[in-house]
Amino acid sequence: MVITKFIFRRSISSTLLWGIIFGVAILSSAVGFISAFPTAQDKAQLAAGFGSNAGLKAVLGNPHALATVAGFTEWRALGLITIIGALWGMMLVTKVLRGDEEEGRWELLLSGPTSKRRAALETFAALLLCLLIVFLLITGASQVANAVHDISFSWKQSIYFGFAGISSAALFMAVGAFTSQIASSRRQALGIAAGIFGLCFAARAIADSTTGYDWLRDISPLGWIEKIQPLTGQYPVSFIYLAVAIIVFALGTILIASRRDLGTGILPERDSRAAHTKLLNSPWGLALRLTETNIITWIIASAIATAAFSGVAKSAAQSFANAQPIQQVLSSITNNSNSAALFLGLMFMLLMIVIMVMTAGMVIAIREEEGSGRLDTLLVRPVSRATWLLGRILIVFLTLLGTSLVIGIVGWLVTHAQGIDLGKKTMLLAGLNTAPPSIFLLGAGILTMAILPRLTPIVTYGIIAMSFLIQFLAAALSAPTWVLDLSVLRHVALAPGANPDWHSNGILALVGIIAAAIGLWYFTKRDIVAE
Amino acid sequence: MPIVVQTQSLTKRYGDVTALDALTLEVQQGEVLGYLGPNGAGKTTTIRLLLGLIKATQGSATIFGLNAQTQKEEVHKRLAYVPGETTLWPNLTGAETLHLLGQVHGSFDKGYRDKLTEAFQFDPSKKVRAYSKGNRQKLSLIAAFMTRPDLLLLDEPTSGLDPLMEQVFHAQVLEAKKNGQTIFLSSHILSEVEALCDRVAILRTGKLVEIGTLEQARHLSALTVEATFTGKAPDVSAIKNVKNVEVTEHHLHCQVHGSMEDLLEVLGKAHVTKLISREPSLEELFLSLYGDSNGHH
Repeated sequence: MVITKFIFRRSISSTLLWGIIFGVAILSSAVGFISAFPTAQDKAQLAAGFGSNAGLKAVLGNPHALATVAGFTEWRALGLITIIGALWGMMLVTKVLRGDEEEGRWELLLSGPTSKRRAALETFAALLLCLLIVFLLITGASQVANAVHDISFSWKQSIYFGFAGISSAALFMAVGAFTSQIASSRRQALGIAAGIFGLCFAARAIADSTTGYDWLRDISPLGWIEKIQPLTGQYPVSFIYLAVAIIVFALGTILIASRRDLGTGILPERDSRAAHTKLLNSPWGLALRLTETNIITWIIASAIATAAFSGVAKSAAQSFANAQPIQQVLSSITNNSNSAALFLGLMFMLLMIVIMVMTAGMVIAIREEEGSGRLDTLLVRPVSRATWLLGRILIVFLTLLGTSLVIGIVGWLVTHAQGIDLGKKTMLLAGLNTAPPSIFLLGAGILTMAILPRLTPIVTYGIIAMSFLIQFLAAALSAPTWVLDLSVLRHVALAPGANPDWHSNGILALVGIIAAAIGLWYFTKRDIVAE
Repeated sequence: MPIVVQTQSLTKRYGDVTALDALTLEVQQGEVLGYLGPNGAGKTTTIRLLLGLIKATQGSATIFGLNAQTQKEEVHKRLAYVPGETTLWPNLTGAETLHLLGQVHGSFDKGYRDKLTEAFQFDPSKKVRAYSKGNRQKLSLIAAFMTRPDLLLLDEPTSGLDPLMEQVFHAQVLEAKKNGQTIFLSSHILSEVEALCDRVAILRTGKLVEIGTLEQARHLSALTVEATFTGKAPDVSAIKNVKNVEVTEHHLHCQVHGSMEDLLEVLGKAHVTKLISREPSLEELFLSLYGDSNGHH
């Protein structure tokens, strides 16, 4: 039980965070649908518009009964939960298994009165507890939706939804656990698991967005999850396939874990190489060297996501044009009547969240340099704390600014290629418009790191979660203005669907810069604090 | 000899806990000072204060005449530090790490680095994550010595090294000392301190309880007396400067602080067949200091 408790304690924060976000996604989908599409005609227009949109089907899956609250909630919420759940599952499991093994924690755990096989079983028990919590949050959220608006999700539907909602997380936890055994490092384990996810997603996306490739859905576990239809059909056969896949990966994990030496993997990884001293001349160079892969990955991922959103802008615009209620909702936000611009405005807001997550990750990495003791290695040399932290802040700042520019440039290129001429300047400014919330978050994160260093992850991810929660739930529930204003995202215009509000952007950025400056000053005054 | 390290009433408190209590000491140039104390005595706190990684609650510390807390960067140009537990960047190789740390320091002797790498039998081509604890410690030692600093702050530097590598480390310390470098050596290995240090400072619960040469410390400390008798061993526990008395039927073991006169008078009447009196080893000195609740003798 010691290992179960240990793994559970290390997993509970992200479990609760994502469980709550999944719950919010369900509530906002269900409640938002009722509010935005009150009449049968509205619902029919929505189904006609979105139901045939290949781009959205590729991302969220094939919708069923889209003109109903159950169909819309299932499509939108389960589509998101399936993707995010898989990513969370594989990241969590590779961290607590291979990551902790690299840090030497498993040596301590396995030195106790336990066997490797038992340790693996205890790990799965902890992960099962985490999944149970997410299941309860998803199931509960769909029942709460009943209370908020007169939606009649039955307990059976909710329980089905709960199981369907945790399916991708459970499967990719098992996949990640298995790759953690065969790989020689966490990076390798995560890379293989992500590759498997990519293949599964691509197969499901092709099957859903084109004709003649339905068989691809049958070979992708994400296709199996889509076929469950927890709120609209409840086909349980897919659970059998998923259970078999999970059991196979779990058994493989236990088998390899009980036989291999700690610290080793089946797949080789080179631990030796000739020295590459590029950038290793200063603390700033080191910071760039340590983060360059991460930065490039985020920029490429943002560019791909922008290209994907921009690529479906034309067809989405047509869907918007056919859906009068959406037009009405959006016209209350902006005067712009260009449907493609409105669609991109909404998508750029999602990209804002992506940049915020990237920023939070980079701020937490700064704190980890201190917490792990690696910062000591630099500060006992002629390196000032202010110079070190300023360098790290500038790297995050330039990365988020660069990412926002890339979003603008890629958005313009792809929309221009489709014949949607929103203007280069408009798109570039819309890209830049995605940066201010992250500048604010950067400042808040640095200030927290300086004053309450151990709370850095909670505060940075907390700001994102709170903004997300308010943006997608409080708005649908017609919450008071002061509650809505607590969301950072609330203060940024939906460019290019609306003109960027540079006054509001300036205030967000200024608050972020001032917070970062105070944090920088305070950091030079306090003790260096290890974990 | 110029003073390299000087502290005046240096104090660090964490809330109600006093980690270091009014430490006042000096370390002269070219000296090797052994810094001893049990776990939690405040050794690492002292070193972190000297490095400016934590702020002093009271008192001051100067290194090379500069304020160790406010002129850190200037001070750090002339010193190197080796922690007991080295944390480095796992994806850099040993060679890359040495290059980085040398560049960050400002200057280092590449020839000396290669010589140290050879002496410590260190393979620099591996990634840090693949090194054992001992190899990570070697990397940290090489990074420190290769800059030929004026002051070396070493906190349990041989932690994880095998006995052969400990000998290599001893040779490097002695060479550094010969070159006039100053060394502040915090260690648990008393034989290492006895072999390398000119003076020892002993810390207990944040307070300095002893500082001086080993000879001075021994002189000021209790003598160990062992005596064998033809008959029953006499009762010496009533003699006021005799402590830690252990008696078996014909054998007596005790420690004497100060004059031996009263003890010899008792022993003289008891038919002694064998009498051994010796100064305490550093280990005995260490243990006697921690056994004394007042921290003084």
